[in-house]
Amino acid sequence: MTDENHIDFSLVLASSIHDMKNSLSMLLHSLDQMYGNKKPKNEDEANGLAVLHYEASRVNNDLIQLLGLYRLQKNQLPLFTDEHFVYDLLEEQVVKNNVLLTSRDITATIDCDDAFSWYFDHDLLAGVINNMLVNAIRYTKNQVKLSAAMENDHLVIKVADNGTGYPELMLKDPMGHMKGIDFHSGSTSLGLYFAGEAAKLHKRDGFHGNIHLENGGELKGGIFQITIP
Amino acid sequence: MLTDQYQQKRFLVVDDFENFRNSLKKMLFDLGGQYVDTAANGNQALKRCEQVAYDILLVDYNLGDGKNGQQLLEQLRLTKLLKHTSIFIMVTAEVDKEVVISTMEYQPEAYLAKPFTLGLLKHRLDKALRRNESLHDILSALNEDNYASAIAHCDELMRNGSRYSSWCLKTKADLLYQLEHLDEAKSIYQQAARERQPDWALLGLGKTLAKQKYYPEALRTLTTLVQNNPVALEGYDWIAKIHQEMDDYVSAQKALAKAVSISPRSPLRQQALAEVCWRNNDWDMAIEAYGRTVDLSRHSIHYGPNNSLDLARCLTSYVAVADEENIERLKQDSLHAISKITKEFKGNSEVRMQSKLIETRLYAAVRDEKKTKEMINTVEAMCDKSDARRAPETLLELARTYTFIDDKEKAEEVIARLTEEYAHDPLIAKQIDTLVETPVSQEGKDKVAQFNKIGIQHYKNDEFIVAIKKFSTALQLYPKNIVLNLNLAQALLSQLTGNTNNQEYWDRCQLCFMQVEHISETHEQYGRYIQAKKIHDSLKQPSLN
Repeated sequence: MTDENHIDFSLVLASSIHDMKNSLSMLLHSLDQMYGNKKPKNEDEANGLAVLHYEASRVNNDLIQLLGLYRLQKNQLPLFTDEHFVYDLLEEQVVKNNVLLTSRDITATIDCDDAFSWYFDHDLLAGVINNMLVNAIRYTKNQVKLSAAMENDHLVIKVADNGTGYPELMLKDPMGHMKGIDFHSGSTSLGLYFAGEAAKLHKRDGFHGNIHLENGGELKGGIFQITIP
Repeated sequence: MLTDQYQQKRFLVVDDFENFRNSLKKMLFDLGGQYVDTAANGNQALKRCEQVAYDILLVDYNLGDGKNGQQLLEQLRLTKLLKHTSIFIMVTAEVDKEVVISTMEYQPEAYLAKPFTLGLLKHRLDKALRRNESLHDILSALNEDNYASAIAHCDELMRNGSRYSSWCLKTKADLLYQLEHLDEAKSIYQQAARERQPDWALLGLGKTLAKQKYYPEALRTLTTLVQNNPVALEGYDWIAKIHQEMDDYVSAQKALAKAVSISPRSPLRQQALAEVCWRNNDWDMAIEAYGRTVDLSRHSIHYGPNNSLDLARCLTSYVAVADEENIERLKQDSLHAISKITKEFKGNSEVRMQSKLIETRLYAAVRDEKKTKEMINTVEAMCDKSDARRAPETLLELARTYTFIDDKEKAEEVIARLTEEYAHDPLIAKQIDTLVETPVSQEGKDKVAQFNKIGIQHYKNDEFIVAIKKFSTALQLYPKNIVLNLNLAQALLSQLTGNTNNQEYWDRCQLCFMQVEHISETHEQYGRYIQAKKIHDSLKQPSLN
């Protein structure tokens, strides 16, 4: 029995998020309709449009993440594991961020076998990769690379960039920032926390998924890595 | 750009918001589409689909009043208006867990979460089209229900190392299962389950084992499935089916209740739960589940009078056994349910008769003799007026009612007519079994024989309590069976001889005799009956404390 004075927060959250997502989608649609097939008149207008799209998709991602985190805490996040093509997952995240990539003149490449498939929760992993991609776009110079392969019978996905890399503190303990609330580190540490929890939910034969950060590699920038058993 | 591939495609956009319809339509034009129809609700969409075989459907889950996207998909699949070669994309702004889980039951080819950009739409469409092109030969064979050819094409794609090999393997196994090539299906499932336990392999293996009647193994497999993936709903459905096959209705109810708590929106599952609750005499649960079945099926393909009739039947049966304090409320609920049926299906005379018969039993249950008589007279007049061939459901209802109001002669007459005309129909025969002494269905005959065998075995080992349990379970299914009643009485008496102070056993023994007392002296079980009765009478009735 719930106390009358206590509102069901998950219900309020879910329905508000539903509402906000609807509004966002109306906003994006009206934006598209306003511009129609017309090309932006000048660079300023093009940039403005890109920023609008970028911010709208960030709000959308945050909303999804927020609900995800709340459900994680309540142990209510059911996992919908199914077999999916990894290439499609990666390509979709690039497509989602195309406007942003173009406006910032960043090249995104994908390195993954077309027929490589794996078992995971598509929406959950898509949220994680999208977050990390947006993050990489923010800190890179001009390149991002998504790659995936099977290593030791686990799926390993990497999001690499050619920026200055992750700060030393984060490399040591990617999820550590969540132990104390630090608003300055912003969405990066929240995103990493979510990524770590999402990875952990995937388990097989006693192995749990995990995340790992490092610097260097081919692009000599930051590398985010998620392993799914 | 692949845009010209959209020129030839026929699109249907279904959304209750005009804004969304128009902007999606515009997106499709931007992609090169030329043939784009729209519909504002489920019924409009159905009508369009009857006229045009669309290649790609983009349907919002939320369609306002009436059908939702899920119910539309279900109906299109079941009526085969949606071809295997078509693509159904569910568009949703829902983040509600219940909605997400319920859409998974009739899997659309793709999902698209609002808000989405033109780029993302194109990406999803490209992927779905690429898949359908690769699988074209298989999907076309499925359109024609040519499973053998579909399997051959699956093999061909797998030989060529297709990107979709693992889908082909699953499809091949599922088709083999449908064709009842169970050993072949099983070996595919087993191998896939060994390699890495995907849901489809465990589910397929469980179903196959169940069909081959390896029940304990099937249960183990399906339990692993739901442990790995607690939202694998079909797993619970099959666990419940197997428990029912093994006559363990309590475990069946548990499994279905769990599935319903995860996904409450499937009318078929609610109905299955209601039936098993009824069997377990869990009346409140049964009525709740029947009520939900009625509500949930309203806009779906499962809509019809039977759900409402079941609810009324269940309520009426509850009245017959309910406590004094609940009778009035339940009677009102029953009358309400019956009057709703009468209004909703007033054009259907069979349904009208069935609901009147249920009402008759209701009055009999509350011992309103005057009204009972009036009602049965009304029904009989309706029967006489038209000599049309009665639906078996109506005859069953008639037999149930005559039995309930203790008009043995007329009950036997109706049952004889039913048996003569419908004994070959296993579903009807199963219903007749509940009304007669000796089952008419082969399944019923086998079950009674089996229960008797097991019960007698326990009896011989002096395990009276287990024997009593076995015979009682069987009697729930076949309450009028003479041999079962006498066997139960004998087991109860043996237990009572050791310990006379059990009122419950004493009462149950008397109930057994009541079911048997009408048999004639020439009945082959008559001697046993008299002997058992003698033992019973020689025992002292337990004193009431």
